[in-house]
Amino acid sequence: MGFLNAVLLFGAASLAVPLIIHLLNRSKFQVLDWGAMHLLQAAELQNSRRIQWQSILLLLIRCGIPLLLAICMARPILTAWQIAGGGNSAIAFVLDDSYSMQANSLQATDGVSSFKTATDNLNNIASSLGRSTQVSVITLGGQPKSLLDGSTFDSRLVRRRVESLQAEQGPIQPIAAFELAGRQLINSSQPQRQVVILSDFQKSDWSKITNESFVAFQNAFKDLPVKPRITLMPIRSQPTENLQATIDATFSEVIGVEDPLDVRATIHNWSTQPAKSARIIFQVDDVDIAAKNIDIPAQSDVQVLFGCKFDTAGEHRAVVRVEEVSPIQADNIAALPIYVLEKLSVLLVEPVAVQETLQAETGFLELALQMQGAAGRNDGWLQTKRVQADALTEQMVKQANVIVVANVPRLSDQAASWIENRVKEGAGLLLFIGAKTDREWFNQRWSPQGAAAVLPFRYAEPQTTDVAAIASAPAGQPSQTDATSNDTSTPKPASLHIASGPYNHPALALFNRPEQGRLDQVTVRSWVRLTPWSSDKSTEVVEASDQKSNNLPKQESQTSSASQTPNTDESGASVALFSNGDTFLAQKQFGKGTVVQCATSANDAWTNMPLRPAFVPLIQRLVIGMVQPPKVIDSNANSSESNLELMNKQELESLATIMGAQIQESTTEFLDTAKLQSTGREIWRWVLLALVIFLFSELLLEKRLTRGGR
Amino acid sequence: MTDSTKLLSAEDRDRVARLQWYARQVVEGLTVGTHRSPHKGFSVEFKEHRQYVRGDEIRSIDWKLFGKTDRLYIRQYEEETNLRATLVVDQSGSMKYKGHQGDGVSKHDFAVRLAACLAYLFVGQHDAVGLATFDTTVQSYIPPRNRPSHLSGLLTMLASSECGGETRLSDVINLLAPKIRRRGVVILISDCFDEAESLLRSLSFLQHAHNDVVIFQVWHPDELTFPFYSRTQFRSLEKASDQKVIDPHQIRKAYLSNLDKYRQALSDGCKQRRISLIPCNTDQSHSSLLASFISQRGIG
Repeated sequence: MGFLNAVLLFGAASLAVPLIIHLLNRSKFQVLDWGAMHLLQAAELQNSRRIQWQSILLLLIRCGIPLLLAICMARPILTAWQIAGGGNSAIAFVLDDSYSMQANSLQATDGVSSFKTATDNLNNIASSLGRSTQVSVITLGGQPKSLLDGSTFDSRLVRRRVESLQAEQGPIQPIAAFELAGRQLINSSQPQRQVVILSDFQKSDWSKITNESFVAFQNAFKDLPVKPRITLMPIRSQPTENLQATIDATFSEVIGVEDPLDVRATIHNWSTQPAKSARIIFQVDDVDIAAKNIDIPAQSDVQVLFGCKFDTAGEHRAVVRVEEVSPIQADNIAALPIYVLEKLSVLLVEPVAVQETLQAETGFLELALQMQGAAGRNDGWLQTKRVQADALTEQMVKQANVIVVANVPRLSDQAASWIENRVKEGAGLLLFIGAKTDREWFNQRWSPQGAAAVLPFRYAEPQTTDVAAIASAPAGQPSQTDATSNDTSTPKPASLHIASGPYNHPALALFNRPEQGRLDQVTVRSWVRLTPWSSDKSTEVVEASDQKSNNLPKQESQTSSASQTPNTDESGASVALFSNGDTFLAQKQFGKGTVVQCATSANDAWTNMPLRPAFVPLIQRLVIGMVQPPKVIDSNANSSESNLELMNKQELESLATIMGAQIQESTTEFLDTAKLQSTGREIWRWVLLALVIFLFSELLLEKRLTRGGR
Repeated sequence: MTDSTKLLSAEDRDRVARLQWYARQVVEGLTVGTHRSPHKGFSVEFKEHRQYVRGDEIRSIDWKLFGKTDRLYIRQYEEETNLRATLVVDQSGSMKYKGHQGDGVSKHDFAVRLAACLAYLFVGQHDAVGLATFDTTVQSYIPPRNRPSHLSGLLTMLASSECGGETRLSDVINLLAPKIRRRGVVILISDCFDEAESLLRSLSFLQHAHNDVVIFQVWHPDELTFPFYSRTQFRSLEKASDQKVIDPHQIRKAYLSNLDKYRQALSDGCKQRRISLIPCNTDQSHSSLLASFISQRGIG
């Protein structure tokens, strides 16, 4: 026997009220001088016992009414009475498997993680509730998913699946997890449904649920006939220090053999206590190369620099690892993929052979590629070869890792075919426009309808901001008239710049930090508008291409999601834009190779880009990026997961209020409540019935005693 | 004390003056009246013949019969005489009850007025009427007389009677019985709050003395309906120490049942003994009650 609202039992004290009224009534009477006392005495003698019995009964009934009312409101549960169907219920466990759950649990012995405690609690509950409980498990970290592909009554299956889980997911997505739990529960035919959330309630994760997101939370269970009972089961972790290692690189590095490489790692101390002599180890291909002991102040960053070289070409892996007893192992390691190439051959194709380097179309490119880069690569690793378009041979094309075509009017069909084949095999193709370029030839040859769909975007009309150039411009030269003829209402900018970041393309990501160079300082006087191939088609086709663009490969989707609104084609995508929104760089995959299309010249004829400091790293990274597509470094240990600050009691209670949930600190507490609610029978209805009977009895007895003689 | 002149209103006098009380039984009176007398005398009503004996008056011999039978017979006639009525009025404490509001007519007032009407009636018929008042014992007694001036004495005594003491009705009647020697009518006006059995036994003594017994049992409506609901302390009007706190609703049924049994027992006993029992309550008009009773009683 138990009570859901035991506090209301204090209302039973009101049974004293009828008792007091009864006693007060007994002391109050009127006085009457009466003659026929002999008749009165006889009547009293006859009825004294009955009167006494009825008075006591009436008193008991009157005392029983407030008592029953108090019991009824306290919602009594009869636990000894197993209801028909037992404790049939569906329970959806929402299990936090984010990295923060790797912290040591406060509720268990040393060395046991919060996640292990959570899974133990889950298994205990699942096995204790018995076979009549339908269980589903939703993992909360990263992308929420159902662990059991539905739900099951088999607690052993639940145990097996849960024990195979690891806390290796990123930040949680509570609303998505609740929606999934809601879908699991709605498929259940069990009368009672509940959701149990097993989490450390990390502040950075759970502060996402606010009053504003309450509607979304409600919607997660809107299809259920009755909102499930939600239980928060906090798994408290021990307050401890946590160091997180990250490498300052967004993409993998490509270097040459014996090229020196500096790997810069940042170690963040999330603890409120300073970390003394934290040992940082640098590994290359699982071999310890160097180690450093550093002191890290509380909640601060310390950068560590390691250098290395590679004597063999191929794919390598550099790792910075914090050697400490850290609660979260995942964020102790930061890895950097490194590609080492023997040499990189770049074929620079220009319209005419010019001796003076800076007069040639590809002179600036050659200088940039031969200049020792920021990574400090050895000279000779990146080999360039300038060649006139007419002198191009198949051998040259086959030996090139990257082919740069700058301001070439047109290629012979044979040369074009060699280049197409080479790019298909995996080479890179970098296209620069210029005054001599026959745009129509390229648009026909390398369009989707042409011999090969090499071009990411179509070369459209040339544009310029230089008035003098317009006056002397021959046919095909950029002209302001041409540029403005289509849109006279749009004011021409005084000077055109490359739009500022952030940039998502690996070659441009460097410029997200202004100290590495600023692309937005590049001024462009003339350019050719690059338009997607789909703009030539009907509206329907454009819409279709937009839909297809949503299905682009991941890398392309990422590169297209620049800060500017990029134009995307069926296969091409804008990589960078001008400040007026026109495309500066476009890229597409052609076969195994990559094609990058630039909207302006490679020399200083149309732009001051070759004269800017950003030109060298831009060209080097573009060329290297085309040889081996860089990998995006996926930082598994999200910094928010490394911050082990948990919600305090007030915040947790506030969260429970928002969610309409109750907090159960332990499995025992949960099972006790579950026993009351699932295996017990609420008998308040019977008490209410008894109360009604008492009320009617009181009425009848009162009428019998008080009004019966009238 | 009630003013004796107020005991009989003009309406009462007018209504009672038209009534005539006839005795049901043979009564002994001193004067010629409307009631049959056990004594034979001069009268227009022939009763019987009897054989002449020495000493009889010669003038009472029926000569016509002597001529026919040659024997001397004396002609005897029914003698009519006056009625001797004794009014026995209860002035015990219980007769003081005048309702729970305390503003009604008390049973004693009713009894006194009824007795006054009866006295007026009998005096008006030239019948002798006497009066006895009692509570625990006989408090006063005026023997029956038929002088008109006797009425004022009766009324004065009625007016001066005061309630108090316990009722010992059977004892009182036993005391009164020797005083009522001649045959007559004994009219008891009381609430008869005594044991029915002993009361009836005492009344039997009066009957054996050839008295016609009439009982006017006076009730107050409260005693018949018991109209009490709230918790009440009942204090006895006859015995101050006797008091009870009772929830009236709890015993109403039993009370009314006891009342019915008591009334039934008294009624049955009276019928058995040919005693006239007239229940009356204080709401009624005593003169109307009297008129109604006499009309039903008729000529005995």
